[in-house]
Amino acid sequence: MFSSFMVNAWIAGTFVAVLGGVVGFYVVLGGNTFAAHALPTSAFAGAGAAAIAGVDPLVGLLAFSLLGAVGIASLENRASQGVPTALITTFILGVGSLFLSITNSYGEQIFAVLFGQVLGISRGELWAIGGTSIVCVGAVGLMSRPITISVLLPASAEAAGLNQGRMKLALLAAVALATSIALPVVGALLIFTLLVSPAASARYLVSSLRGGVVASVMIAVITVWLSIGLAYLTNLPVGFFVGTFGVLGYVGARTLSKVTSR
Amino acid sequence: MINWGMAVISLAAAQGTGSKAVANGASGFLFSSPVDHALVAGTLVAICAGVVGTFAVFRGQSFATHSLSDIGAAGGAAALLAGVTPLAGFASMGTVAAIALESAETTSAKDRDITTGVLLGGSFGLSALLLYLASNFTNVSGATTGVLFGSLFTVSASTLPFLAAISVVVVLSVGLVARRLTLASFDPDLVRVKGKSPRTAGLIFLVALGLAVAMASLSLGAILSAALMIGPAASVLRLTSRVGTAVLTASLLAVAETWLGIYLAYESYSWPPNHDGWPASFLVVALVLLVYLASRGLERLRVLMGGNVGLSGGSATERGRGATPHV
Amino acid sequence: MANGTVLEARDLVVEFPGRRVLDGVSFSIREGELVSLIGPNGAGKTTIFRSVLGLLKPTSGLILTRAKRQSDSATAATTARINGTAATATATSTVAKRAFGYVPQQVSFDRELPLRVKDVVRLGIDGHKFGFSRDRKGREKRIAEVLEETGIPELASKRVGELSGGQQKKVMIAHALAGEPEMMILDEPLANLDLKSQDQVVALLERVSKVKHVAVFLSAHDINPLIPVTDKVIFVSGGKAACGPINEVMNSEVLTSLYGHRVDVFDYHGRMVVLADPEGGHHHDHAEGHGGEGRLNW
Repeated sequence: MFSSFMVNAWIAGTFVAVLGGVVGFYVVLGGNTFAAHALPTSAFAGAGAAAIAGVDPLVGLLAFSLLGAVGIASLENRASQGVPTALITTFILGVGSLFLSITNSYGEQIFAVLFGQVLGISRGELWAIGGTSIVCVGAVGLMSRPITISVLLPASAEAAGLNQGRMKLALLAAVALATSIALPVVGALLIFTLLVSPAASARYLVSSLRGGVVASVMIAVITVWLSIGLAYLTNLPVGFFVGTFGVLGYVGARTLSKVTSR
Repeated sequence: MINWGMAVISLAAAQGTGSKAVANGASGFLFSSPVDHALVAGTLVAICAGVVGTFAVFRGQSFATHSLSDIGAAGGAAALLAGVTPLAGFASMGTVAAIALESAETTSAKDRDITTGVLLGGSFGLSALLLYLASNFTNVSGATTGVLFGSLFTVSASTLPFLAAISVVVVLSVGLVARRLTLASFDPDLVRVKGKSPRTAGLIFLVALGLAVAMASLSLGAILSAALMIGPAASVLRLTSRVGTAVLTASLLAVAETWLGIYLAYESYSWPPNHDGWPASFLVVALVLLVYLASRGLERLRVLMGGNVGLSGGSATERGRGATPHV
Repeated sequence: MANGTVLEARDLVVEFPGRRVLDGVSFSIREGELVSLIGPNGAGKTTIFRSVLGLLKPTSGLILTRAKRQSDSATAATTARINGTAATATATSTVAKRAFGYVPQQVSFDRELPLRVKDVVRLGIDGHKFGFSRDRKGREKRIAEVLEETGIPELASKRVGELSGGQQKKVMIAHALAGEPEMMILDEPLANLDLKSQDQVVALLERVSKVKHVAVFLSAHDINPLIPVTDKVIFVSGGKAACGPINEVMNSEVLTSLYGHRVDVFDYHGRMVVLADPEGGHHHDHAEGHGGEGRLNW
């Protein structure tokens, strides 16, 4: 369970969990769940594009998820209620399926791209994951106050001179970056789970902003560790455990807060 | 099936593409049985999508719609594993998910989206497991792509009656709750005052949405189906705020987009790079996005022309929650 | 700009495609003054606020502000002329933003938001700044101070989503006050509050203006709860405005000329009742929200 190739999985999983917990906290704070779902699915098309162009998959992932972030940030407004997000996502997914039909070179990998393959992380990938995670968490930390005030008190933020469009783009770019890093580990669809579920559960357990970030990271890390361990033992996909623990944790935290508030 | 083909020809002609090549393509197009099935299935799906989608957009449920389609993927995978028709899997999973979404007590729109997200995340886990099992323990090939991206051209004749039956159920149940839904989208209390529960209407609607999404999943694939539900309705609602008109035009638009997509997919067998056809799902989704962007452009143009527009410059329908319908 | 004036607007004109929302509005606000911006829905109250905050570029006109420099206590008079040119307008807005504490009308906090009252006030001090915070001690001291001033120290560690509407309003006032503004701008602070909470908020705002000498500029559709504390009223209707003490503005002659048809103002046991002549209702079409009803909406 802790042999050399598993060690890479543990380390990569931990980086991804910390990143997901931090970025996800701000996603949930602003209720930007849909965008957090849209960007990883956009990244999926990037894997196909990279396969066709013959470049590193990470480049494709980054390019497409950032493209999605720009598209969503520029088309979505308070009144459009997620319609542009839905259409952009499905369109980029459609592009992905087009790539899939054009080239069969990554057809076999599609399951891995969507649902992850944590056990196949190489040493080189580990460096990339670690480095980008640290940069991304640092950047979010530097922007944490303006992001918080922008998502919670948009009118006050605007009056204080913060450009709402740019702040939204900054948050989405962080999600896009986190997505591209985490995709090889947990897959396009389950990054979303890791972004949303731990932060959503944390809301019920702590009442302060700083506590919320810490709790969100802790829940994400525990989820990933348990999932990797169980996936190794049972030989089932990691994503199944990440998804299941996400829902269980949320239901548990919600019930707990209901019981204690009575 | 001649009628469908004729309609497509006249559609193509109406769009000014009635060249010789198109006519040739269309005559072959007419006599192909997978194309006939695709057209019938696509039409049924599009009508339901227009009807249900109008109310979904109206009620700000784009994310729920999208989620129901993604959650349905787990049902599709389960059906594959159990060896039953995927439609059964999509439909039952869609219904269960709809009930779960509506019965989760949420305090605000934000909280509703977060709860939806958590459930969606859980369903991905389930899909991962079921698709893994399906590809390892059955001899179905291409399980993942089939369930997720679907194909209109593989809809069999035996599925068509089921699709028709579900369409009737969907359209009737939406018709049943339409007035209450419209009222509740202004303020749920307006419905409560009349001694009726807005939640029953919401539940019936969400189940109809689940079923419509299930149908669309079969034709467009689980993760693309939401586009057809949301796109035409959102395009239309930018330009009209009358519910009746919106439902009708959204359905027509959805049908037109589907037909054109199928037609292009058929034509695409002569397209580069491989000459083996572009996916119909992609073409439909691309058309949907194009039309939506065009409707936004059209609306902006109207604002610039100096129409009587409000402060935000947004359309009446997308400015506030629940829009401003005139029934 | 006269000494002691925090904000002055001259001949403000704002046009949106197809209609003129403000048509030459002038007013001024002095240190420690409590000014009520009164008018029917759609009369342009929010537009005035957005112009003052620099969020909206007036078509023409002049907004003069005095910016408070936080590094030294010397106050510098800053003026800028806006003639619709982008460059000067932007310059004005950067000055304007730092000097004002803003309380928006609609703020909704979800119950389960991991956000305490303290956190909201902290965001008022440095929420708009990038980077990591320094001087934690000074900041925490300031939070305690502001909560004391606004009379809600006991709520410091409560989740803001679980508070009542009146309490949330006070929290938002504390949030705006935390940045030590020289003027507070409050958009309809009394809307959707019960009478008791209204009284408390009015009393709090009076303390802010009279004890802290911070100018308070607030909008309301009903002058009555504000009569005892208002130093000056700005009445807007149909893009025009009148500015002055209550009895000089809220009278039949001034309102009649603003509305363009006959309006009567009655004093009823210290409360003001404004009645529009039902016959004259059709003649004005500029203000949306009240067509020809006999009684205006307060």
